[in-house]
Amino acid sequence: MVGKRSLKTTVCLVFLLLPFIISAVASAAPEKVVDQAGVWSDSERAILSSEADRMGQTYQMDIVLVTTDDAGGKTPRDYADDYFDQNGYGVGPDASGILLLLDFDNREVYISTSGEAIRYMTDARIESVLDAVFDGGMLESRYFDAAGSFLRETESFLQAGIPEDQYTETEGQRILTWAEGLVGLLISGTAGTGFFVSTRKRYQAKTRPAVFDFRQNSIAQLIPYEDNLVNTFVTTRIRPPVNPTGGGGLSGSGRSTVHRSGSGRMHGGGGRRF
Amino acid sequence: MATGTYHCPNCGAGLKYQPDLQKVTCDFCRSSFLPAEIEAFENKKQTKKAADQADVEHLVAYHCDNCGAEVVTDDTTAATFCYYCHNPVLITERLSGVFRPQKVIPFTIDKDSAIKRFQEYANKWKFIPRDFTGASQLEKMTGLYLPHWMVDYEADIDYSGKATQIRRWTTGQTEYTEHKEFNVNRQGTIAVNHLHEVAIRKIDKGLIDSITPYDETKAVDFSSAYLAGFFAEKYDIEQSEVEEPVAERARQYVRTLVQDTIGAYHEIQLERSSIDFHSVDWTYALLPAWVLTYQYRGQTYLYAVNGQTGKVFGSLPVNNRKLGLTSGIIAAVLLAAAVLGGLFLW
Repeated sequence: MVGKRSLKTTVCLVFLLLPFIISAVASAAPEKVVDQAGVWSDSERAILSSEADRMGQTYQMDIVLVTTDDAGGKTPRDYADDYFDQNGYGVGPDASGILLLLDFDNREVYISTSGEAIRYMTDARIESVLDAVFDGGMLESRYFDAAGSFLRETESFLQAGIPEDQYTETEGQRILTWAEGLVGLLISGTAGTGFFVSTRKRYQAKTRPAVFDFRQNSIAQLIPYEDNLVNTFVTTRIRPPVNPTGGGGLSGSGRSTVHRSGSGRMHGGGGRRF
Repeated sequence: MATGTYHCPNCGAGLKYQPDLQKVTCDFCRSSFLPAEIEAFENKKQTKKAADQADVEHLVAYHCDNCGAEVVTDDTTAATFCYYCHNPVLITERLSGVFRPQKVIPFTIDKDSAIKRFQEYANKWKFIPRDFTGASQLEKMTGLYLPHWMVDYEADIDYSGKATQIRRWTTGQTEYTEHKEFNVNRQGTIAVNHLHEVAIRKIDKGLIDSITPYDETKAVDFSSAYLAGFFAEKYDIEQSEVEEPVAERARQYVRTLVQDTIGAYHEIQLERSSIDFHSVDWTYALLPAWVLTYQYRGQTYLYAVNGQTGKVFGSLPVNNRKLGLTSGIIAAVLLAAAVLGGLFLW
């Protein structure tokens, strides 16, 4: 009786602890290159993996490369964030790391950042890394070269350190600074005063010069007339071609935009469709 | 005769001109007459009285024809009311000789519709003082005939020149421009009639000009019967003073009318463009207006309603407290929106 019960307890205990055991095993050796879409050869994967490991050790963060051809209905951002969170990536208490996702389901490249890496990889830098990925092979389907470009460009930024003007801003949520409050006060004050003054002015009727319907009060008796055509000529000129003008937006170079992922942790990141 | 009240030929009570009927009516016996009928009746009566009235003409003070009370007037007043018996009084010596108007545009808007028009105008504004459109205030609305100089111009026109029509189209990279040149000639006469200018200083010219236009074609030959029941003023601006500005306006109108006949060309080059005024005919005319004054915080506001068209003009008094409160609310709402927007939307 006693033996049976202790066996039951042990089995229960094992089942209860199973997730922890699995995660402990997983976190012990998390794979840095996960090629679910099968775009890299074994040797390519080995090269990327060793490079990612080296960079991760140098800068104390996990550099992760993931490909997928089935995002399971998730957006690339959610997929990348969740993949990072659920597979136990990240170094240190704030789980610092950078994940590159090549999402062949949504046809988007997404870079997810976490922890200290958020501060390194500002929005502008992520855009720049994405530029490198697309120019470095993504567009020509050379996925190994694209991943290499990602690693090179990322390392150059990690080397450069956290920008001096870096600040972290949560997407869709802000705290007003005193200056902004003052500007708001100034604008609303001006609007209120403007309304007061302009209304007073509007009530002050402006006198108009006399209106006289001279058409109704006039009689014209002209000798019958006809305008005779006396000359016709045509001139020509070559139209210069119109130059198309490109548009572009500005974004704060020092900003890292973060959002909350499904697990509740904060992530930075950015993506681009291909 | 220094003053006059039109008396009802039937019962002898005072008569008033009614804009809605375009007739002179008696409030007492309900008779109504055309202004011309009254004029004829009065003329017959006056020839009888003329002899014994001759020496009264130099009087400075006027007496009501109806009750005999003294009527105190301004030096330009031509038609008013007796303070005691409220009968309309005409100061006839200010309506005769050089002061006799030749034309009058009769009132077509009566006091009630003038008040209604004014209320519609005033109620469009939200920050006016509360008593502004009150009945006791609007009761002060006064019908007034304003003296004007009216003039008919005739001008000889001689225009000649070249006009160009331009048509543009594109084929491929080449743009073609076709010029068509026409000879343009305009000769003849253009008459601009009923052009008028305010002839009194007492009332702000800008105010009166601002309730224009009048339909001058509705002007009729003057009869003092039209003035019964209204106030009227005589001119204190001489015709010679307005000739120059009116001539300039006339020239402008004629120029526009000639331009109208030339019409839609892209370019016009005139070799000759002469406008020669050769006949000018001045008349003295009375134009109708309802006027109203309003005192607010030590300032007098003056309003005019066109007695023919009902057009209203005048600056409105502002209730500063009401407006200040609204401005404050706008500022507060805007600040709240800016703060919330800054926090959650940016």
